[in-house]
Amino acid sequence: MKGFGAIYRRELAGLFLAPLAWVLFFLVLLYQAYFFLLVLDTKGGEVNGSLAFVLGGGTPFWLLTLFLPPLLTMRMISEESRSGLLEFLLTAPVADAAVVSGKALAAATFLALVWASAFLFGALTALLGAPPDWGLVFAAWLGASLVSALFSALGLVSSALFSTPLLAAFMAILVNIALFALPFLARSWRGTGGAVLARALEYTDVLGHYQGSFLSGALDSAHCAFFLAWTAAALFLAVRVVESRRWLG
Amino acid sequence: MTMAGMSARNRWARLGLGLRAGLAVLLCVGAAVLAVDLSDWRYVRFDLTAAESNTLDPAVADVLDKLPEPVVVDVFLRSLDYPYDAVFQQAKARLLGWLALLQQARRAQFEVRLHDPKDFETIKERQRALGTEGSNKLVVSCGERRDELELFGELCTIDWGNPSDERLLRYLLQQGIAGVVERGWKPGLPFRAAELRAFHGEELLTEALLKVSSGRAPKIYFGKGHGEPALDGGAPGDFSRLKGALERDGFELAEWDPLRAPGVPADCDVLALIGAHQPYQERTRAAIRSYAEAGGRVLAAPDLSELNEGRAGGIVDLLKESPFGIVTRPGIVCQPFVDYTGQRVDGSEDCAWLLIDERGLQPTHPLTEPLRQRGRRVKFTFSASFESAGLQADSALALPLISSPSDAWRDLAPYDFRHDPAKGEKRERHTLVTAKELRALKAEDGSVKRGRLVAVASAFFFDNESIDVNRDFVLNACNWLAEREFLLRVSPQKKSESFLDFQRSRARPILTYSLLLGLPGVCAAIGLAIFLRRRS
Repeated sequence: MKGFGAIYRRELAGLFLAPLAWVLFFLVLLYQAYFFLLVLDTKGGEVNGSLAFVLGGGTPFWLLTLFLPPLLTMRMISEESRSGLLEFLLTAPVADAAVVSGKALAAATFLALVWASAFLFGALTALLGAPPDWGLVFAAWLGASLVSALFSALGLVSSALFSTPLLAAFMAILVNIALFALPFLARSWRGTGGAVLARALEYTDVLGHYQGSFLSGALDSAHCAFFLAWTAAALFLAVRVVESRRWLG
Repeated sequence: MTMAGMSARNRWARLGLGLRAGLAVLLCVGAAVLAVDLSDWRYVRFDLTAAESNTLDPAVADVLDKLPEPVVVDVFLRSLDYPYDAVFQQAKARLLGWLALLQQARRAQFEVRLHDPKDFETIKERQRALGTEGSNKLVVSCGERRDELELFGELCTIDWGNPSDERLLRYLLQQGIAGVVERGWKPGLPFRAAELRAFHGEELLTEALLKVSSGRAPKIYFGKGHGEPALDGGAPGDFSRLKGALERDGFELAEWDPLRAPGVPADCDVLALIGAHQPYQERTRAAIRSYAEAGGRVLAAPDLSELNEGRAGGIVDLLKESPFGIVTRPGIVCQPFVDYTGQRVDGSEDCAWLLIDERGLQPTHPLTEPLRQRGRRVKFTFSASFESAGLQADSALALPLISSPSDAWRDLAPYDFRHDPAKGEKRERHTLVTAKELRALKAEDGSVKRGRLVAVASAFFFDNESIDVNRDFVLNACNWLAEREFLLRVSPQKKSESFLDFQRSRARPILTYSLLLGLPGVCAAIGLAIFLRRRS
């Protein structure tokens, strides 16, 4: 994919050389630290459980994961399309796939760095005499990063579909919530219909695949493949949408 | 070409491109679904935790690998009311965590069905199909074979604390949680919360898997034709509930009528001689003796009337003969009972109803040790007893498995249920169940098979009225006799835990300042610096 590296570096620089990213970092760190301390207190000082809580074991993480990727990616294509920069990019000698995947990887990298704050929390508790289970933290961080990558890719699809960034973010949040909650709802729907739907929705059960391995400290090829497959599918869809601009006129 | 023609061609071209793009998207979603499916088919799993909390014990992995067909675990849970909701949640979390681990390890072989407690209809239907009822239990099924495990008492050992008032005590009893009074309940003492003491899921669930997936079902032949209670009969003195319990535990049941077929059937794994009212013919006794000498397994329980009437040639006489050598003593074992005033009294038939707790169970034998651990009790009504066991003439050891309390006496005829030392009635422990490994005989192929005997002093022990209380002991006895002993040693799953000492260190203020001010502060400072640099 020609130009992938350049696009990735450009997007990452755009994120980190703007004060907005650091404000986001500031807010997310504060949010994560607050919940980490709260759970640490409730669990009587148990470090591993508290770190797992801020990396997918609790609702605060999922709130961030559902909302943060769409907010990061909402401008990535729609804003560039409005400003005319996208036309310039599409006519430049870079592949559409490189444009889309470069942007997605930049957003995923940013979010992976956000979740890496758990390593800092762990290092601090280790300095205070309670080292965490680093394997568990790493597995949970990897899982969180894969979930974020999937939601970033979906955010990019939305950003490519809608020309208004806010609408793109709103639609992406709706899709994320649906992806997150539908398997839940199907399971609680009694009767045969519910069972069939729940079976079908197992193919998109983000929470089940995340908690099935990463959160317990296991690295499972099937669960990794689940996130990678759907991320690739979402990126492919985003590429098709961007590409459609050429022939839709 | 006209402008209109060109526009129509453009439209068709766009439609074609759109269809191709749509098809590509559909194919892409299909490919993702296929990838998810394939990855679930062949997968590898790495445990990254320091305590290896995602790694199965080799014994468990071995059992899972050898499952002949998929196993389904139906979980029926219903939360306990306050103040026992917390201990229920703890027990539930441990159980579901362990089941999830098993399911993740062998997805194709192990299915967990967690039933919604509010969905009564589905639960009722499923429980009917499984032949069970009640909540807070799980049923392990493999094909037609099943095993049940209870959450409280089996999978989890709970200290129920002190319920403090009778309302709570009644509630626990309604939930089928027995043994609270004997263990901790003190009227007038303040309430003490229940707590989870131990989780035995790793071992018990693996044993259940082994049981439901093991090869041929052992066959138990029940003696027939001598006035024994009916195996299918639903009367209080019959054995239909015993039959159901044994079949659910994976045994195949059949009847043996020695009057029609004198020899013990060749495919007999356990011969049950329970409650015969009429004596056996000499040739029948000879057939049973030679079956036991050849390594056969016998479960025997004489009927009280046989002793009362002094009938010869029945189970009592059979047990006395070689190779068994067990002497049944006349008289009904009685114990003073506590009346409504709290006095210990005798002179009533109630004295002949014995409820034996773990203090009366042999602590080291594989048959009784699990019952002691789970706080199980057994019930005897109008039971005789066996002579003190020990090393016998044939140098085989007869071990008393269940004994009465030390204040019990053997009430001699005529029965008045009153302790009368003048009649020779001594207060002492009486053996109610005994087990014996019989002499080893070498088979033609050189293999040595030891016969086994479990003798119970009362046939009432197995009837429909008593079997609910005595079920676990009876199942253990049949499993031991059939050498279906699933004595796995599975170490409990470890959890990665690391604790910060908030009480005796300055960890709390250091963490609070560093995490709430330090790290976010650094980010805010960098953001501010970038902002100022961009402005300038």
